[in-house]
Amino acid sequence: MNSRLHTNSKKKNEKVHRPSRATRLFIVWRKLKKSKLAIAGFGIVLLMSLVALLSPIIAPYSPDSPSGSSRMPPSMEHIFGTDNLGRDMLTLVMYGARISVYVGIATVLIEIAIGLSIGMTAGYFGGIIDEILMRVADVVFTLPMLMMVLLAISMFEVRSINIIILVMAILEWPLMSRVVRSEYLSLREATYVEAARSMGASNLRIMVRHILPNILSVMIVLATMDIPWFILLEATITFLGFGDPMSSSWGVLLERGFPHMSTSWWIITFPGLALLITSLGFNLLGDGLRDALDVKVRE
Amino acid sequence: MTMKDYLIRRLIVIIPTFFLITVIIFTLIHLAPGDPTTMMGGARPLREDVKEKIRIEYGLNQPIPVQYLIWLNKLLHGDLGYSYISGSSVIDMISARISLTIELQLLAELLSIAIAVVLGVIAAVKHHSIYDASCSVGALIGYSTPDFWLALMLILVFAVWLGWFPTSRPETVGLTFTTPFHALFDHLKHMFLPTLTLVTVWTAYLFRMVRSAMLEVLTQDYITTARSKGLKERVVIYKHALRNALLPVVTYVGYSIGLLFTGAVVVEEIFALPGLGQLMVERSEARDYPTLMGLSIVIAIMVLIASLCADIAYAAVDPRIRYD
Amino acid sequence: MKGESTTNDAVLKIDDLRTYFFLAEGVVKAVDRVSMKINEEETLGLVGESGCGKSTVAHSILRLIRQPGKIVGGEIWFEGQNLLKRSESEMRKLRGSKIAMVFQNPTSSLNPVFTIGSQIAEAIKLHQNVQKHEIKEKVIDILGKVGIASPSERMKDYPHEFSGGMCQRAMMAMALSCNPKLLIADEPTTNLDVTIQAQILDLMRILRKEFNASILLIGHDFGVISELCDRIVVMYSGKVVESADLETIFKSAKHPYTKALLESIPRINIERERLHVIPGDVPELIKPPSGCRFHPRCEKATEVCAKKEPAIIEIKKGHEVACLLYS
Repeated sequence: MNSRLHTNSKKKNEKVHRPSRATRLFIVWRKLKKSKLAIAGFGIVLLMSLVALLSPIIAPYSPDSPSGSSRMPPSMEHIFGTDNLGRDMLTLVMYGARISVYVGIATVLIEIAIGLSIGMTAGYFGGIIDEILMRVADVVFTLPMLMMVLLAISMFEVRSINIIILVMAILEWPLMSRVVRSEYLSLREATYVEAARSMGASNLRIMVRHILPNILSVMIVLATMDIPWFILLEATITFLGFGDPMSSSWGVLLERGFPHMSTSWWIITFPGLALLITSLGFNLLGDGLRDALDVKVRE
Repeated sequence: MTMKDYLIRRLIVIIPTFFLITVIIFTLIHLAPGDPTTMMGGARPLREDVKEKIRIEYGLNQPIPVQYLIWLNKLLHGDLGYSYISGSSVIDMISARISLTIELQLLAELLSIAIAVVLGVIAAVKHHSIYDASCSVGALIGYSTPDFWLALMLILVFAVWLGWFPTSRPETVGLTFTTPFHALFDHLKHMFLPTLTLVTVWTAYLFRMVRSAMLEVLTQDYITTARSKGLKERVVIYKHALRNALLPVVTYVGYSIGLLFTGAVVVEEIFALPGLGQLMVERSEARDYPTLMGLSIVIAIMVLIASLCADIAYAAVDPRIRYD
Repeated sequence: MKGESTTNDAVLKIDDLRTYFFLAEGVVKAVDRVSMKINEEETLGLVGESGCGKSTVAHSILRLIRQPGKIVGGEIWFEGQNLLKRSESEMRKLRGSKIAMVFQNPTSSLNPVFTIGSQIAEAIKLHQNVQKHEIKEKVIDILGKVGIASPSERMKDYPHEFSGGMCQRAMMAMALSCNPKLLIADEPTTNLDVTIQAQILDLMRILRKEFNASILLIGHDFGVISELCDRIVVMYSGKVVESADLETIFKSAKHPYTKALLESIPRINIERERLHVIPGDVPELIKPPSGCRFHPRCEKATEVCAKKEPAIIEIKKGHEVACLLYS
């Protein structure tokens, strides 16, 4: 639709009142509410988080001990059936949410920490620092993620979920840092930065206190869309046999259920569906946030 | 700048990138603790004199940077190493399997691009229609689906329950074929589900890209100009708009080559296809470091070549790039 | 003779045009009962502030209005036919050949991935029955006519290699390549530097003589408009408020809005404390003011102005105003 349609209701020199943070949040919330899909996404995310948090309370059975005969199809007592050891699938899926959601969030947080610092430095200082950092980022980015993860994990004697998280975060930072960098590159010329500098603010202070708040929306969208990616990646790694068998993530459930696939379809179907729905929820939310916050992720 | 100059510039950039990759892979492998020779044998430890030979050949008693240079030197001479665990040279193992991986990747990728472009353009043109909405939702679901789970479900439904397709391997084992056509048909039957798995997820990714790129392009001024010249709408869309919309798509494909390989690994593993991806998994489990190093380099090279091709395609379509 | 309007001479006649945009928030009456006429070899200037509907008029003529916009009423007469009743394929034959358009942002109005030459050739190929080698000659010829040096070399260039002024020349070459009867120029100089503006206007002067075309020149800068135009139509908030020939408008404009616009032009030879400003804001087209749309900002407004919409009245031959002061 042509912008010619919108009559300018502001003269060019009129002062633009920047609404308070609370008002802005309210506007974003209203925009978000308009999209039914975003609401659905938010709902799913909320649901999964609640399940993850409350699973010990709301799960019908215990995840460790068998509560029925092995490999029973879905029934009234066991809505998702039982696995090969007789444990209730619904319970297992609920407990699985804890690990999987934890993985997603933890990895994203570490990724943000790394990606933000590197991106900030590259974008703000530019020059040779930028060149080097981005060259390294390019390389890490191009290398097939799974290949690197397998390489990295196969080196460790111990298989632990936290190691997986660390490895994933360390290998995924390039994308976030690229985005952060381009934001810093464009924003460092902003007038308010000049003003801050002229008042004697240090570089660090400018980067964190002045520019960072302005890129929050981009980061939020990117983070929301990265969470499902990590959840799926962890599940894939685990399924291939490189995961932590002690954690009971959905990936572990799928790995364990694979041999029994043809006889007991429910053992792999429900954990996988849980993955799909969680991922879908975050993606819907991410899409909605991107539209509501009016974010254009620049490359 | 002509295409040739652009090509040369890109190649020049790739060389330091390649070396950086070798450094990263080398470092990664050598972070593993312990004496490499102990691990090279796997379950059956090597004889001491063999170990000593290896130590000298790879310079394991020398400082790390020297080890790196020794390895790099061998690499550049085409010696990718030897796997003691499996008893064959790395090059042999790779060349036996590479064609299957390439076949799977190319097939899946080309199909995905074709489908995504067609669907994406139509969705953008019919913005806000039922068609657009349902395709978008479908893409979102496809994009959120774990590829290995999709593979499992497809096997369950189409291979186990319906019996239409085989569950694994690139061809039926132990069968002799009367005609090459027969063999091809059998092969395609085996490749159908693996390819379908990959195509579903990738088409979803690409569709979203194409659609949003087209939507953006269709609002541009030059589209109005094209219409004001009296061109048919079809020409405006497929000649003027699409060409511009494909630019970000080509960039994206170039960037995500690595992602595509990830999907292939999983699919090869589940469908027991003996390709590079499956080799990767197998050798990682066995901690067969020599093989892993060589294999990683080969994969990295494949990715670099693919992204170079994407760069060339981009420069061919967008004249502005050549003048940077 | 130029300036005298007789219906027989009209190249284009717009009658009571209504183009609305149907948005979620409401209906925007971008063009609300607008009428005007362009005669043979006449240059008509369409003046008004941003958002008054002048671009929409231009787009309506060529029926380039797309969703959520729609032409809901009126008639546009060209060569004895009502354009609003013609089929899409008939319109396509007109576009670029009998009626051509030049746009506001020349650099972004040319497709960045095709050469200048190929884009012009496309228009020629579409509307004229010529051989391949002839097309190339025609392209070189027209590029030369619009003042682009070494046209045979430059036609192989891409838009990003052309400056803003050159892009505008190239656009004009494209528009004129098929000898249109009517050239619509939608703010052709607005985004160009002042010196380039002058060049483009000069070019247009030369070209209209060479091609015997009528021109609909749209803009918001009276200075630019007065360089080229024989007659002027002033629009405000989707409606025509005044129309007359150039001299009349400058010397004896009647509508308060027109007068205010003229007053706002900074002039070197008059000493003033402050620049004249029209108070208030351009109204939202979704909920326009009642009665006369200009009344909230009008110095001469009376009570009646808020209630009754003024009709267009002919004060003198060729001079029409829509203002209750004169009815």
